[in-house]
Amino acid sequence: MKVGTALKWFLFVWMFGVIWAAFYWAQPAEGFIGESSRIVFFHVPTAWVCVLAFLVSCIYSIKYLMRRDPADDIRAAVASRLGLLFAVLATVTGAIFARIMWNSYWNWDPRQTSITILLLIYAAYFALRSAVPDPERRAALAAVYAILAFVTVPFLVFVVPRIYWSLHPDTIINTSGTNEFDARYTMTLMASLAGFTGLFAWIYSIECRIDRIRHRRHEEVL
Amino acid sequence: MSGLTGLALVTMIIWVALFVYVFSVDRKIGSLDNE
Repeated sequence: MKVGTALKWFLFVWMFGVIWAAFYWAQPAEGFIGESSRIVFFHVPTAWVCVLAFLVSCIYSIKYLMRRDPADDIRAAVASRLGLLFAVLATVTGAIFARIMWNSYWNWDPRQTSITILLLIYAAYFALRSAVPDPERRAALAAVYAILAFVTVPFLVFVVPRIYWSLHPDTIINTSGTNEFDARYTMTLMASLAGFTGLFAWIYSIECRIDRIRHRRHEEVL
Repeated sequence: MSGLTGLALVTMIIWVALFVYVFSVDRKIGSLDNE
């Protein structure tokens, strides 16, 4: 068996372990209603992968502007697409959590507002891409936009929600710099973060290959 | 079956379905890459 295939099966087993731990091994965290704290094992990793994907998009956008290699444009676009997908997943899981905790799916909490703005910013990235027919011009404009878009990410994800009063629970490392979750809860969350990162890396590589093949076939037709 | 067991089961089914789908796409892309 090749290393790549073995890693994929390892990820399969790993995520099964994460799901089992999330529902049966980890104890519900204090201060949450019922079993609602278990959704954190899926909500936080999707939010993390979203930020990671936008960072990857920014890096490849910078690379594109430096080298003008179409492959970098493909990598940046794919990362933004996955980032947007995971941002939607983080929003949905967050809304379910909000329904349990605050009896309403949507409260215009600072975190909900900031992720909405982030979704709109990255949706506009794809509107921009689809509006420019010339591939080189599209890639250059999209690269500049993706870099500017990423500048807002730390503010919207890390700064704004901490400035304003929020219903959202403290993050894993809270404002006083400590982790108040118990060991099992923290371990399950870290395992889930690792699993989701692996899943992102796998899907990202597939999407890049698909777009590369599409790009190659498009050039062959021309 | 408790609510928690049901949720765990649904999550596992989603994961298996997602894995099977992504794995099959990966194989298909692998064969297209080799063409």
